[in-house]
Formats: sequence, C-alpha cells, structure tokens
Amino acid sequence: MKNNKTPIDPRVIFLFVFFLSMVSVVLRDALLLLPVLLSAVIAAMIAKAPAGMVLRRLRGLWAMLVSVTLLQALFSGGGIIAGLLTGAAVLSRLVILMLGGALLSRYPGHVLVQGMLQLRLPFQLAYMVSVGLRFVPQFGESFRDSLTAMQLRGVDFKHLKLRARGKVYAYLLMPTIVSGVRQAQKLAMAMELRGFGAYPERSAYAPLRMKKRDWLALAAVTLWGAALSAGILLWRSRA
Amino acid sequence: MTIEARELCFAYPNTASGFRLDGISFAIGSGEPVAITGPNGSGKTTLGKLLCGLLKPRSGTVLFDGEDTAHWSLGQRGQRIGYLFQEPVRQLFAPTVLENLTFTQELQGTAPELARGRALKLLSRFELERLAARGAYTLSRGEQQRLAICGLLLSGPGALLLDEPTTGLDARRKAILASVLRELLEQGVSVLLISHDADFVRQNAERELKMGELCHEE
Repeated sequence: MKNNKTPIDPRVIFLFVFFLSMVSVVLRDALLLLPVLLSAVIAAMIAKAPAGMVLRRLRGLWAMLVSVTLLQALFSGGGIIAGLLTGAAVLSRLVILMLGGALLSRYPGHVLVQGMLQLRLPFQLAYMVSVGLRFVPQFGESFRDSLTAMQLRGVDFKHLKLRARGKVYAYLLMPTIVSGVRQAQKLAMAMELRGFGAYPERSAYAPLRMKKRDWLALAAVTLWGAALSAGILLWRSRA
Repeated sequence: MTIEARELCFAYPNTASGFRLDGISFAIGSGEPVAITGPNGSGKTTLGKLLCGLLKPRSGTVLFDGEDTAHWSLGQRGQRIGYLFQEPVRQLFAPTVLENLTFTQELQGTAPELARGRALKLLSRFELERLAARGAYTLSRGEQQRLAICGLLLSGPGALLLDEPTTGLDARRKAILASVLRELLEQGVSVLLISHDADFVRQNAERELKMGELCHEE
C-alpha cells in the first residue's frame, strides 16, 4: 500500500475488513472496541483510504449518530457512565464499519469481484457486494435530501425536543431504505435484460496474483488478528 | 406572499459544463401565478432551489415579503414556501399515507385529532382518502405526487413552488390540481410553476419567466 496506483491485493483487504467487521459486531465493550477502532484508523491511513471523503459524505448522518449515542447513554440503564460507554460502543462500531467500506472503496468494482471470485465466492454474490459498496455514498446523499425535504415541510430541527428529533430521524431512514431497495431492483432488472448470468461459467481477463508484499501484508494481518483475538480472550478471562 | 430575486448569481462547483445563472432579477406579486419555463438544463430547477434555499447563491438576494432570507433556516423558509420536488418520493417519510400528513403537524404541536381531520380533508380533496391507510411507497407515481402536494398545503404556505407538478397526473387530476391552485391564488398564495407542460402553464400561469431571457448561459 505504498501508493494509490498499486494497492495491496484486495483479498488481503477482504480478510482484514471481514475480521474487523466480525469483531466489531461481536464485541459489546467500548474499551475492547478501542484497539479495533485504532487498527481501522491506522489501516485507513496507511492505505490512504478515502475515509475523510466517506465521513464527509455521511455528514448528514452525524447528528443522528450522536443522538443515538445520547439516547443510549440516557435510556440503556445502569447509570450515565455505563450508558455513555454503550453509546460510544455503538458509535465506534459504525465508524469501524465505515472505515472498512472506505478501505474497499479504493478498488475498482471488477477488481473486487475478481478478488471475491478467487476466494471461491459465487459470482452473483461477489457482484452484489461490489455494487452494494458503490451505493454507500448514495445512502448518505439520499438521507440528506430527505432531511432537507422534511425541513422544507416546515420542521425546524432547532426547536424540536430530543424525543421528537429521534422520531424524525427514524422517519428519515424510511425514504433512504426505500430508494436504496428501488435502485437495487432497477439495477437487477437492467442487468438481467442485458444478459447477466446467461453463461454458467466465467473466464477472467486479469486474474489477481499475490506478490511478495501482498504475502507480507497477509502475514501482518494474520498476526494482527491473532494478537487481537488473544488480547480479547485474555481481557475477558481476567474480567 | 411576494417573492423577489435580486441579481442572483450561481454556478455549481467543480463542473466543467460552464453552466451558470447570472444576475437574475424578477418579482412575483402576492397571489400571482407565474411559470418558469425553458429547455432541459437551462436552470429552472436550480433557480427553484435557489429561491427556497436548497442552494446558496454566490451573490444576490431572495426576499419574501420584502425580507431578506439569506440567514433563514430551511425550516423557517419551509413555513413560508412549499416546494414540490421533481421526485415526490423524496418528500414522503412516514409508512402510511395518512401519517405522512399528520406527523409534521404533530411535531409542530397540533393536537392529533385536529391533525388527522385536516389531513383527511386534504386527502379527500385530492381523491386519496380511500388510500389513507395504504403504504406511501406502494402508491403510483401520480398518487405520490398528489400526496406530496397535500403535504405542502398542510402548513398553509404563503407561496408554492411546484417543480413539474403535473408529471404522472391524468387529465382529471390535473384539473383538480388546477382548481386547488385557483383557490389558493384567491387566498393570496403566490404560485410558481416550473413545468414543461405547455397546456397546464398556459391555463394556470398569468406570466412566463423564460430562462433564456432571465440569464446568460454558456
């Protein structure tokens, strides 16, 4: 990952993002999520992933994320500190997942698909994942559009109580999800009309080949995964 | 409500198209129906978005009833002007047709029964009352368009800015829309139509603002 022109083999990044996502979903403790979050940030910096761009595009969501964190802190039970830690865990998990998406977004769609195919994933699934990643920024835009449309219906967010604001955000997710599903349906129809999946077997024009530094990166990711898992198990056995 | 644009200038950042709106000025009187017309890509929708604050002009001002709106929030503008997007689905938020009309009222403090009554009255006006319990996203394009227009009328705006309001509407529903607009005009509500529907514009607008005459294009 020395420069943007020759990034690490996407299969190594898949492995890293897969482990990152799995750990972030399984772990509930904010303190345990901290090293995972740090790893994601460092990886994004090394890979020069467009994390800033992804976070900026999702800026419409930040108010919602902070509201969710505060609501978690206030209503999750066990006191304010425990609540804040729970809220922080939710926020960390979302940031980790976004950074994972940013790491993968550096690769062109066909390279991602090829990587997944060489990991023995079915082509339809591989293609679906790569297209799904392209939709991520559009979700942010769709959310912002809906937020704007709601304000233009005369809803002044500055004067809303926290509970009402929470309800508004819940409503805002609806058009975002609907437009995402509709776009996916349209795309699927268009693809099928153009003969997607007409042939059972596919050949590859440019199969991926692991180079020395890819193997080194794979070793680093494996070591990191093992060290993180051991650390988590040790922490839990002591707690 | 009167709307006035003074020397509005706008260009999209990072575009190589060279498109810009330059020095646009016009005024719309209270209760006046005006249409903004022009070919595709001439900036009609951009001008509409500038008027309601969705886009910020590089220079120039927009005045509602003589007041400069530069520092108004979108929520404040929304209470004065109703804006219909080209894609009505973007203006539907709640799961059911009825909830789409009641929830903004309830957020603004209207009692639920009163909000429901107002909503049903509007739905009936636009022949949507039998769909009140239906999912808003299962409606046809024309039904969604009518529901979005109902949403705008609920807050009692002083002006309406409708971007392609007749898309997806059959002749009967266009006539209903025209009759609602006439009533609003009589109440002093200004109406700005952005439309390619020449017949609808001819029948419902007293004046046409042609984009080519309003601004320079490159």
